[in-house]
Amino acid sequence: METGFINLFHGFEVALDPHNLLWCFVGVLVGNIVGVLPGMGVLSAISILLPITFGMQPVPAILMLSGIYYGAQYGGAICSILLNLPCHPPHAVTCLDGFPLTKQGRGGVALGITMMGSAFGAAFGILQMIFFAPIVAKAALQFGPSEICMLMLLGLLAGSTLAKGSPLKGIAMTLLGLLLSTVGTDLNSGVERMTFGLTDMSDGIELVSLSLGLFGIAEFIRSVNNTAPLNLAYAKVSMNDMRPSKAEMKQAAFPILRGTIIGSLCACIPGTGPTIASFVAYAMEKKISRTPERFGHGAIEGVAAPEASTHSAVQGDFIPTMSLGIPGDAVMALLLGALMIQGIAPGPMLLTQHPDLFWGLIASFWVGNIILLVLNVPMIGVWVKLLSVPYKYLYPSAILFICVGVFAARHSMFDVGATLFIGVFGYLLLKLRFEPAPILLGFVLGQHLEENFRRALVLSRGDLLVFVERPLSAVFLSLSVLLVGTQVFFWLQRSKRTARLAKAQALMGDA
Amino acid sequence: MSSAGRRTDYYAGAFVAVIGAGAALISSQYRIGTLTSMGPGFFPVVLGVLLAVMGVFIAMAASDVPTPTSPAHGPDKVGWDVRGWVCIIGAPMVFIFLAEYAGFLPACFAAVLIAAAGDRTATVKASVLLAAGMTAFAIILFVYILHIEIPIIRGF
Repeated sequence: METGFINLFHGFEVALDPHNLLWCFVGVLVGNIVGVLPGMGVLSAISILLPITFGMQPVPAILMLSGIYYGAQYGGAICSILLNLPCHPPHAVTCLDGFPLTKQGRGGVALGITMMGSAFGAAFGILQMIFFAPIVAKAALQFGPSEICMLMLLGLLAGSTLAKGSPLKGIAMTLLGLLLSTVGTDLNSGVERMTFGLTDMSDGIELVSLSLGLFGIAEFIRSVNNTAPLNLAYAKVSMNDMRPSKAEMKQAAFPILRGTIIGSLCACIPGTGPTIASFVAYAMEKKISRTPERFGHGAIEGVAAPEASTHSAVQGDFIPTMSLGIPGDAVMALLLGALMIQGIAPGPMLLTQHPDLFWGLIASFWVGNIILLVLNVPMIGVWVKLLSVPYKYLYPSAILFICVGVFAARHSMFDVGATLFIGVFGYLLLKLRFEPAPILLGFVLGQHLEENFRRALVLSRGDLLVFVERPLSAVFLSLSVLLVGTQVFFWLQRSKRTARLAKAQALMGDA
Repeated sequence: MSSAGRRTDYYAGAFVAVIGAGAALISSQYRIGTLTSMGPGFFPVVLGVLLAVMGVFIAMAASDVPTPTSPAHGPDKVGWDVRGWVCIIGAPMVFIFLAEYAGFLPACFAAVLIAAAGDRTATVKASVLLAAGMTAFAIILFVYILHIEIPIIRGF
């Protein structure tokens, strides 16, 4: 425990180093801006800035990229509450009560409560990471290749089936991502796989091209001329409006606490990130409230609980990513990919091999959240003004940054073309109602999975039973089976019910 | 609407199945090896086959239940938004071409201008101003601060 505090102290030294502090500030600032701007996503923002980090040291790079992620959560809440626009999925549920409050002229109070809940949730999430990540990493050091394989399988299945959209399509997208990761030179044999004879592809598909194609170009093709109209009528808030009264604070205190706990629990289950946490927190507040009819008409609890849970889940999300090297969602996959590009192997060794990075990151969470509070509370007026920047100016600028950023990463125009190609392909997937996020998950873990799969079978001399014989690997495997089993069960139940409904309707039609 | 949703799932399943089968077919040309010593073809073939199977499952499970779309977007586009398509796909193409033959400045300016033209409410004046501003910003950031090696104007 004592070493933990020493480590954390060292972490603050890293985070407060002027150079690192500057990049942390840039990260949370960009995140906050992206969160506020309607129509911009966290994933595209992180991908656009990813090429810039290639020339940087690993620590400031990762501090900045993470800063974008949690910074965007602060901005996203403003967008939801004042505009009723759920641009960022974790804040979609905040609209339900946030916007009615705004209409009643209490939008400032809703934002004030949100800031309090966010800070509390984030602080709890960071503490959770301080305590749990080292324990998890220590346990994971004992894992052999078969355990790692099965853990990855569990992570991939959870990430693809529990997120939004159809579970079947989610699994298909994960497989597609894994398949894409095999493109390029095979590390074991030197054979070039699926490069179609293109020398530019022998290094494989660039992470930057993939993510900017899928979450940049494809998104823009879908959104152009197709954005919801902005309703700026109520978007007026000043700092003084944000101070909640004593009664409102009292009303929000327990929902914030409950939301925080739900968020941190959701962070522990792979695949259930901040979005699910916020929905669960809202549903629970509504359920245990003595006056559930107030929800949807401006209940403070309906803003406080989901916001607190989002922020604690966002911070908790980093636990499996940093301690096991297994990301829970696409954002974490992107961060992990950024680490790999920096030459840092993610996994349980990260903590012992790069303690400055790990503890520096944790300390920077504290620093970053404080910066965000300072940025958001006194400067709320600036953010509210940003809300009115129309999409038609945003996406052309973003396209330029995608082109230049992708080019700058390897000085390759081929990569720009590849990004465009992937973008068109991604739009096709969107049109077919696929969610592209799991592709990134599979892509980032692919090589690691193949390597460990091969190693496990070499060690067992080709005996597939090794995955069941080793106890921990068997546990992970049965959890995966359980996960798929319950989903199949629910699906059967649902289709039976719809079949019954259809039958009943047919009978009614006859009569 | 409901049958359209079902049809989308059929197409989706077929699309994924074709990709999976194609990848498996291509990868089967590499050495597959045995479980003990896997060749480079093993993993992609397995993944390709699994993906093809998932494609069949998706088509089989095709349902009429519409998946909720993100409320930040309007309803799914009806018809073809050719203007948006052409401009967004065209902008990077023009960027590649101009960066190769005319330099960074014209490439940036043209890319933003063309992309901006994709919006139906775009005006010439606003688009030109946006393009000029973003080009200046990109040159300062990428050429002078981040030092990427690309001539601002080629030729001459």
